[in-house]
Amino acid sequence: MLRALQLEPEKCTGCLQCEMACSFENEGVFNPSKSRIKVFAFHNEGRFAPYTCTQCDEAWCMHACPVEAIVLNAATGAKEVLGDVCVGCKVCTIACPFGTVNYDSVSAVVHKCDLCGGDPWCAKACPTGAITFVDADNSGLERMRAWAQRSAAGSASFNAPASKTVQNYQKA
Amino acid sequence: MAWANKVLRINLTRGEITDEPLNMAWVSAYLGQRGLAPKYLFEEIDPACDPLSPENKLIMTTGPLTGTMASTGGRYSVVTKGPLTGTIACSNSGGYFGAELKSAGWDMIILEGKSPKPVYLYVENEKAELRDAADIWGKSAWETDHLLHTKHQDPLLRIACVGRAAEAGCYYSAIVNDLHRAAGRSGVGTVLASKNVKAVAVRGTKGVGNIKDPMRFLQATEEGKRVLRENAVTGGGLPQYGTQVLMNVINEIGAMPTYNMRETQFDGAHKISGEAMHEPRPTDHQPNLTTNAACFACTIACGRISKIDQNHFSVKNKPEYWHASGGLEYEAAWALGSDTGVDDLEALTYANFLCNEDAFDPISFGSTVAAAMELYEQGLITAEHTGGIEFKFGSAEALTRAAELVAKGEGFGKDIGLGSKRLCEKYGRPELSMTVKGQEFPAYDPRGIQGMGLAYATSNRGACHLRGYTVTSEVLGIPERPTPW
Repeated sequence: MLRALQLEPEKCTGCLQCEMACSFENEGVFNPSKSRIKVFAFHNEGRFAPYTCTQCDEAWCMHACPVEAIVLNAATGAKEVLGDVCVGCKVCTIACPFGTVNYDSVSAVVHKCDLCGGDPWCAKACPTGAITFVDADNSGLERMRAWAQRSAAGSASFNAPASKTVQNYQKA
Repeated sequence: MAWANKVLRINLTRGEITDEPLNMAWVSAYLGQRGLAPKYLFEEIDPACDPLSPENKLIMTTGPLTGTMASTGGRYSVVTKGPLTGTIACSNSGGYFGAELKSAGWDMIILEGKSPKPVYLYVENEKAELRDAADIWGKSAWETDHLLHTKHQDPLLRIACVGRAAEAGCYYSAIVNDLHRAAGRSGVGTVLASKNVKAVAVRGTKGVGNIKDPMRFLQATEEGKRVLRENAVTGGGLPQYGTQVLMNVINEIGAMPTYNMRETQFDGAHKISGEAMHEPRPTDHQPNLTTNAACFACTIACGRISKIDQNHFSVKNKPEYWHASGGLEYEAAWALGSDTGVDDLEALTYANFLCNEDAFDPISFGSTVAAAMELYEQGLITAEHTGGIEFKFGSAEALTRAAELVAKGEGFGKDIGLGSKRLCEKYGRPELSMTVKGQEFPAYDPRGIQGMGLAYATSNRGACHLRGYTVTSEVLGIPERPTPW
């Protein structure tokens, strides 16, 4: 079963555990600036949102690479950067519509999410379930279950799910 | 542990910037932050120096865990001789600033002397520069944050700064970082402003490492996260209600300081509680609370992010206060609320926004307003002193107006900015000041929680809830409830 990262911004608290887990797994230090997953804070709205590579099937970064330094890991579905092949031309960073491939001037290659070889540390580190690693073909399963539970409970008013703070910690 | 082994020393008088190795012998003896930085301070300043003179120094310090994944470890402290108490001040803050400093490769910043003109310190990894602050001096902390982000074209810059209150000499000015986290108590912001330093802006991309056995460290932090997750307070009550989870609890047991600490229960507590922050308002059907938020690495996420009701008198026609920002924590809610007798949640949130916007301590501010209200009741402070404001217990107008005046250092705000001790002395009734060493009591009346009386009396920075917090054992029964006899 292929699995994918699922991001649920409404559950994010901005703690950056994911960024530290990612940078530690990839770089051996706690360094949010080197994280492949980023949490964005929208202060005035009071919202946080984690964001990272969705591992496109037709991966534009992979197609754009002139030296074939971005390859498909068939086991995980991740598009992985081969650091020793990458020449740092940055064309992939332009090709990616979502900005999730980034150049690192220290290592002189690009980096992006590689799903940690099939066991992403960000999902393991997230304390609120804002980042989960789910069946790629059924990424809506949990959301469907939540709605199904409401309908099964005979809730007449089909309201939007409860606010984040309540929802999270019932789950935890 | 995760030290960068480097101290950044800034001589403001001469404009000299040097770096030096962290004293690892002192690290072994004093661990970090509140242990380590006071050692530096004791060794380097004359204990008799005037806190607001160039002879005083101000230290911004991280701890051994700052910048790592250790939950709740991402904090930093400001250590200096404080103007409110005339003794050691040590105020710590969450947010992201401390971790950014460590990530830039610095364990500590020592600011000494006094700059001949307003400056801010800009740190980008190894690079550290004093820059002219003429265009941000006189601005609020929020405006300063915005202007520096714009000037440096760097949204990831982390900024700690003072507001106008500190520039005006308010004795309990804070240093606010990330817009609404604060090294709040004892007037550490007043010291920073006295050195003509408006802000410290940091960008760090080096990361935090130097851990002897990283895998064991990760196991330990994972175990710590599990404990926090499974505990009813840190895993449930705090994320849902914030520290405000305590408002109804402390009120019920009769330890809620009310009306300048004359009483120990507040009738309006339920209206300003953590629970009340979740209730939709009748006017706009939105709750006061927008979301909860975490500081760096913290898996509890007790922070409150609130929006004020746009229909409320305090922000009507003031769209600059309609956005979300740091909401009421328990200490702020108590001091701004029950101590002054104000049970208007929106007014308290607005006053709290102002405390963040211009960086002053809501505990000392609220308590000083409460003392002023008692002095007003007794006729020692009159409308003539207040500029016409009726300073009555329960008046949301008086509270919010006082916050506006302290923020800008104007009018009667100058008196409120003195702190409760100096205010009560000035108006001839020093016994009405609820302080230890000149610092206002926090949110626990010792008549209801006796251990806190001992904590206040013995705390080296004056009355304080963060030194010997017996609330955990006496009220929450963690690890067990002591018998009171």
